[in-house]
Amino acid sequence: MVDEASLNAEMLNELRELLAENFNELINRYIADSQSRFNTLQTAISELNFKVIYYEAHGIKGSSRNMGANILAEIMARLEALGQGQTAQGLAEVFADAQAEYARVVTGLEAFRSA
Amino acid sequence: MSKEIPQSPIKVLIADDSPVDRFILQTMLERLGYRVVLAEDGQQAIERFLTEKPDLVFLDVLMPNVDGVEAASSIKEAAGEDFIPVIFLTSLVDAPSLARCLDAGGDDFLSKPYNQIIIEAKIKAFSRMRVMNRTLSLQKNLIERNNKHLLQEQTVAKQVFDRIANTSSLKLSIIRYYMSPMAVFNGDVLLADISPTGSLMVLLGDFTGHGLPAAIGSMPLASIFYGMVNKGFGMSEILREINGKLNKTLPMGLFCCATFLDINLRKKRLLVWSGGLPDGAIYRAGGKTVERLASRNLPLAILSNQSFKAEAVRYVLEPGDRVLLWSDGIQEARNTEGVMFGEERLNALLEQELDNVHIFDDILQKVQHHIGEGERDDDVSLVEVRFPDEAEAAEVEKQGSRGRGCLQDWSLDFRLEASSLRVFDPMPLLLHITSEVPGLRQSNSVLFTVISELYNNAVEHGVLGLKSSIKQSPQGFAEYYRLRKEGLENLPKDCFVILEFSHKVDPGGGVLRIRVRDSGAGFCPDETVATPGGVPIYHGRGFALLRSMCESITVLPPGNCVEAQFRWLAED
Repeated sequence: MVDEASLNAEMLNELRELLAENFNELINRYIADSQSRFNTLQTAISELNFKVIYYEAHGIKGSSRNMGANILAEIMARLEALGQGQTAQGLAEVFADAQAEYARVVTGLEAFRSA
Repeated sequence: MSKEIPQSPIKVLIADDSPVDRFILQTMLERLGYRVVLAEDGQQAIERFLTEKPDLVFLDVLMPNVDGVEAASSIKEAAGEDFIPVIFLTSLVDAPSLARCLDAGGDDFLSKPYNQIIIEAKIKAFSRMRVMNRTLSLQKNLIERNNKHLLQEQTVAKQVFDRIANTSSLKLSIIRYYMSPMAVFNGDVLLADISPTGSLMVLLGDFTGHGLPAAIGSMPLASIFYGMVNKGFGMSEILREINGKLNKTLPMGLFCCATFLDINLRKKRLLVWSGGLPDGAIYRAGGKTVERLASRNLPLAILSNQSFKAEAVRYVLEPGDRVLLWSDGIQEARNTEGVMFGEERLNALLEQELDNVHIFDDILQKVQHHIGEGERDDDVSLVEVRFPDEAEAAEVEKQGSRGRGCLQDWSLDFRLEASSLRVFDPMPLLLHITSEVPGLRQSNSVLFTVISELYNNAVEHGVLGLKSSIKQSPQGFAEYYRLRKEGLENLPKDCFVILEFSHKVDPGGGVLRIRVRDSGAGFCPDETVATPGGVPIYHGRGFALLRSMCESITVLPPGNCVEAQFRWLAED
């Protein structure tokens, strides 16, 4: 029950092939890293710390692209742009979208884990 | 090439703060067979770079502590001349950010998501560049080392040359010269010395070719020049010796254009021999005229000594006259456009002001002005000898004869007793003494013949009483020398030969009187036998030879004493 739009299945299959027994470890690292960055983002948004917003959104965007989580990467690109442009307007909405999408990605990835 | 490019697996440094991206890229590279070193921020990247010395660096742009752009600058700086490709890992796409990465020394970008095929292609391309760069750098180092080595060799060669070409005589007040720094290594050579006979000898030479090969010939040239001038040899002997030596030693096609000046300060005369150099000039102080010293000979080293002519052209010099010589570097000096200074410009300059006492400076200044910022490896050589007045001439001569001096009038009696007659050859000793007279040294080979003939006659015919008529047949020759050997071995104790030398110089040269007396009863040296045609045959043809060489030969009664007068003439 993978959400086709949230995760690029072809890419994940390639990654699984590449990493073999380390594939589950990759998913673990992605979730751990992303979770940590989401926590930092939340604080930064409440404090309007644009520099951190830009930096953390950029980080999640890059690793999401590498994981084939393209929708999340796009949302993060928007967040990154808001951070760079020091724009407070829409921050909360975009972040909410990101959290919702992230939940879908995590669910999808759990389903992709090797048996 | 001494150093091979290492063929061990390529080591790649990945610096990325994202554990996911780092993990993916690391896995990809390891699968491709590369060795991977990891860093989690820019600071770590620089440290790992210094300790691990990777061949290639992947840098994330946005990292905590030191960011990718800063890390790239530090890494490039630390790499120095070594080419370390830096590839930025980025999802940045805006042009200013990309430009900033390139400014910091980045060589390429890799965007996310990573693609294994693109990554491998990039690493291979950069490895090729790196190998090429290393090869170039090794070759560059090799060239630098060779060049350094060459410069060291030139320095050593210059030191050796300076020692041989003892330049102290070039410091005489009447000589001015200019040689550009590169002239020595383009084969230009300037030698000057004052001979014991009071002549200032100057030689300006220009060897064909360039660089060290051209300079090599100047070593034997200088060593012969100084050696012979010092011993009082004349210009023609010196030229002959130099020509012969260079002809035998220099390879085909390498020769030496030269002009030789022999300026006798007392006699106010100049002898010039010129072969192949541009025509020099005499600036006349009185008449305000300029005379050109045309080259009349082939350069040195071309002809064998049999065909070589050392004949000089003679000029009279007056105080204030200036003799100027230069090498073709003057005419061939080029300006920035490559135009030569040229013969015409030089001739115009020479004819321009005929009483110009500053002609030396004028020529030099015009030539250097012409060259301007042009070629710096010119080989301009220019020398001027000003003929001094009497007072200055005396000073100059004093500097030349310092610590030398040579035999003038002298006499020597030398008695060889029986024990010495048996074993001793007096010739080297006697010639060593006569050589102290410069004029006699030039006649060394003739003098050798004269003295040895007189001495051998005294020993063989006088002391031993051998008849030269024994030597009429080949068997007789053998018999003669058997008797000679036997006679010497059984020589009575009271036998002797006395050689008396007496030398006097006179205005034209000098006379050496050699008187050889022996303990024998006397012999008729000419042992002439009448032939049917009435022409005398000389068994001992030695006396005829002696007569042709000496001014006079006298046999003193009772025939055990022969006196020879040997006259030598000063060269001019």
